[in-house]
Amino acid sequence: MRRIRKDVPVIYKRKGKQKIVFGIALGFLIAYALTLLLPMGMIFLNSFKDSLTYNDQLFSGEIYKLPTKIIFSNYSKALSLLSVPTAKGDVKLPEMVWNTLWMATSASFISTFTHLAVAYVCAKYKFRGNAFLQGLALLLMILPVYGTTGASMKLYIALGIYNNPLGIILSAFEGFGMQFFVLMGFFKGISWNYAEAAFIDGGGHFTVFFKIMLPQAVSISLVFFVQTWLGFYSSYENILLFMPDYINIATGLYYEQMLLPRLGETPVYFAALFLSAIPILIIYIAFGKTLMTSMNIGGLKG
Amino acid sequence: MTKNKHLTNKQLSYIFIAVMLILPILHLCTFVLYVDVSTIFYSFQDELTGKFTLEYFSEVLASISDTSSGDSLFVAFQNTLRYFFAGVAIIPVSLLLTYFLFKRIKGHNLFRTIVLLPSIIPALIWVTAYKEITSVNGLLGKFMEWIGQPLEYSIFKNPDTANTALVIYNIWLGLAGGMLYYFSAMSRIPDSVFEAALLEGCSPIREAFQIVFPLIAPTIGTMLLLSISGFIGASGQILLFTKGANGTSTLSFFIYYKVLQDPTGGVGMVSALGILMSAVALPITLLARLVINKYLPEIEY
Repeated sequence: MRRIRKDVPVIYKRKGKQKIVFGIALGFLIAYALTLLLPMGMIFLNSFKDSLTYNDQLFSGEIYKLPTKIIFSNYSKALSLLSVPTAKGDVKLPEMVWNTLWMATSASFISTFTHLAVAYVCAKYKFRGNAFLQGLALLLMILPVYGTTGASMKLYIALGIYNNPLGIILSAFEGFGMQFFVLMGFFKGISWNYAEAAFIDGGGHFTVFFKIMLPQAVSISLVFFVQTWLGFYSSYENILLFMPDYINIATGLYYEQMLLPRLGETPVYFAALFLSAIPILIIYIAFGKTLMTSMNIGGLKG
Repeated sequence: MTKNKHLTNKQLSYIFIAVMLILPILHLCTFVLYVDVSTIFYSFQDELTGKFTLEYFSEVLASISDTSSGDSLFVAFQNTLRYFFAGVAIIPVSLLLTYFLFKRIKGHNLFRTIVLLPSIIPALIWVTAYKEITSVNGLLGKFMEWIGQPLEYSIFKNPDTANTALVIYNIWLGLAGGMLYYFSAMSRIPDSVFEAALLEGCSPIREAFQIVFPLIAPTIGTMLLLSISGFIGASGQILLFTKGANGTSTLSFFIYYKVLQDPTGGVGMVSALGILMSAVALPITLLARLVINKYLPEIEY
C-alpha cells in the first residue's frame, strides 16, 4: 500500500487574493461549525436542566436559556428510565447495550472478514467465474434493484430469520459490496512473492492468507470494521423492520423520543442521547485520522 | 509448495477458493439475487390469487400521475428528485471544503473534527437538536418573532415549509458525506506534484482546479456515479422528522414505511414501484457511467 502522508506541509505563504479566498473559506467554515455546534450545545445544556424548569421554559419560549442549576441526575435517570415495551417484554438499557454490542460487533466482524476473503481470492487466484463475479458485483453496485424491502421481508419470514439474531448474522456474510473493490485493489498491490516463499517453506493457501496476507491488511480492515461498526451502532431503521424485539440503543432512543417528552422528561431524553454518543466519540478520537486517510475509492466505476 | 499425499496444488487451491467463497456466494444468491428476482416476480403476481397481474403497476402509475393529492407518489417522486439534485449539488461544495482543510486552513484540525461530526454522531441526535432549535419556542421561533414573522408551527410540521426544511437539513448535514473519500484521495497525491506546482508559481486556487481535482478525478467520478445510480433511492431523515407526513415522503421512504407498517402485506405494490424505479434509474446510470468514464478517467501516479 502506498505510504500515506500524515500532514501536508504549508510550503508557501498566502498573500493578496489567496488570503481573501482562504478568508472567505474560513468564514464559511466558522459559520458552518456554529450551525452544527449551536443546536448540539443547546440540547446539551438542556440535558442539565430539571424537567419542570425545562417545561416552563418551553411554554414561555425560553429554552435557549442557560440552566440556573446543573442537574446531573438526568444522566442517572436516563440510565434507569430507558425502557421499551416489546412483544417479548420490556427491554431495558442493559439489554439494549448488549443487543447493540453483539449486533454491531458480530456483523461488522463477519462483513469485514467476508469482504477480505472474497477480495483476496478474486485478486490473487485465477479460476473460472472470477471475472463474472467481479462484473456482477459491479453491476449490482451501480445498478441496484429498488423496492426489494417487501421481498426481503418475505424471505426473512420464510427462512425463519425475521426477528431472529440469526438474521443479523446471516445477512452479514456480504462479500461483494463496495469494500470488495477497495480490498481487491489493495491485495493486487501486494507481491505474490511472499506467497511463493511460504509455499516453498511448506505453507498452504490458508497459511498464506491468514499468516501473510491478513496481517498486511490489518490497517485497512480496521477502517472497514470501524466504519461498519459505527453504521450498526447508529442503525435503527433496519432493526425496526427486521428485528423489532431486539432493541438496540439507537432503536431504543427512537422510541424514547416519542415516550420521554410525553412524560415531561425531555431533559432526560437529551441526557440519554449524549450518553449514547460517548462510545462513538471515543472511537472517533481513536480512529478519526486513520478513517480520514485510508479510504481510497477511485477506480470503482468499472 | 509441498504436495499433499492425495491432492495436487491446483486441487488444494480450488478447495481454498471454494471455502473462501461458499458463504459469500450463498449470501449473494439468497439475499441479493433471489430477492431481486422475487421483487420482479411479486410485482406481476396477484397477492391473493397468485395469478399474473399488471394491477400493481397501474396502481403505481395512477398514483404517480396524481398531481392533486399531497400524499401521492407524484409528490414522492418530486421529492426524490429534489434530494437527488441536492445530493449532486453538494459534491463541489464538499470538494472545496475538503481542499481548504487539506491545505491546512487556519484551525483545520478543529474544523475537520467538527465538519465530520454529522457523519459520526447518530442521526437521531442531530434531528433532535435541529427540531429543538427550529421549534416555535426555539431560537428560530424567537428570531422569526423578533422580525415580526412569528411561526405558527415548527418548520418541520408546517406543510408549506416541511419539505424544503428537510432538503436543506440534508444538504447542510450531508456536506461532509464525501469528505472522508476526497481527503484520503488528496492525501495520496505525491509531494513532488505540490513542489513542482510551487516552483511554477501556481496559486492554491489554480492548484485546486488544475492539479488536485483532476488528480482525484477517479474518486470524484465514483462519488458522482454512486450519487446518480442511487438517485432514485434517495431519502433523508424522514422517519425521524415527519414520517412522510405533510408531503415529505420520497419513493424509497414510501416503500420502507409501507413495509414497516405492514410487514406481510402490500409487497406487490412496493415491488412494482421498485421495478419502475429501477427501470428509470437504469438508462440514466448507464449514460452517466459513459460520460463519467469519458471525462473523469482513471489516473495513475
